[in-house]
Amino acid sequence: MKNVIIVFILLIGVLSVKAENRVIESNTIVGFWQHIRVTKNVDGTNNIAPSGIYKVINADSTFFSFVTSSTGPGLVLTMFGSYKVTSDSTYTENVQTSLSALGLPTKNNDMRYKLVDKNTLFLQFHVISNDTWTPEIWVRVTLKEMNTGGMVAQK
Amino acid sequence: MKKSILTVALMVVTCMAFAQKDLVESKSLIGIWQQAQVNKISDGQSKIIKTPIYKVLNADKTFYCFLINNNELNTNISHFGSYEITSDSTFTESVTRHYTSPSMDNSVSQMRFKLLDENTLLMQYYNDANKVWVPEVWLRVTPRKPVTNIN
Repeated sequence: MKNVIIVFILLIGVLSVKAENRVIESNTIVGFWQHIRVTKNVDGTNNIAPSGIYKVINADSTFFSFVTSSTGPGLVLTMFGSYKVTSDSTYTENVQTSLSALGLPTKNNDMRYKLVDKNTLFLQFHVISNDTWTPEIWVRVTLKEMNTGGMVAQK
Repeated sequence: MKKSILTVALMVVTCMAFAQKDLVESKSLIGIWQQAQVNKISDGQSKIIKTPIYKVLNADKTFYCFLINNNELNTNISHFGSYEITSDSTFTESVTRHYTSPSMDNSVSQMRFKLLDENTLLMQYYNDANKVWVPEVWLRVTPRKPVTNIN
């Protein structure tokens, strides 16, 4: 039992070190992602704009999602859970508690993914009801200067 | 040996599940926080204005700050690092990289904190240049209850 506890402590230590900053400096699916909505203009061209939906995929196989509030500066957490990468182009999301009022997440989501480049993620989630794959585009939130729009910037 | 490995694996998975739950449903310093400004208004009363600045304090002792410009939804991370709670009212922030203030790269900041309630955090950081504690108010980002059972 003593050995088990020592191995456990060592493992937690290693996982903690590995987890540090991997969300921020990742080149993989792990990261802080912002959903991009693509709509068609009347002239047939594409209009690309952030939707206000975010997903943080942590290095420890957990994730959470949030959306911007429609009533001023603010966020609302909508979902959290764990995920498992099942191949170099698929993973599954296990939603522990779905808080979304949008009706999209279920308890288990089969996902396809492709990193178009290190900061652009193409996702598809499986809609079980009609057996289709719905595409999504996500861009990585990266380290950049904050434009606070007149608000007091943090130190 | 096999039993030991299974035991360790189970303990690790349990810890990870709790860590995620801690972040999303925490009532402690761990959590996703939105900075607020307290403005004095003319009759001497205060008004709280939410800013678009956020701080994520993870259960694994890492943290990062980001800003969302709500008009264009431009979203950027300003700095990140790790933190260590040193008492029930103090912690230190070790900045790994600070985009806007490179001089703060690899720096350590002394912080004071007090939870006014489970969703309101009063924080102070020590400004070395002016030798003063600078107060900040942070509000917890919370989950939204489902309107209907979608599952």
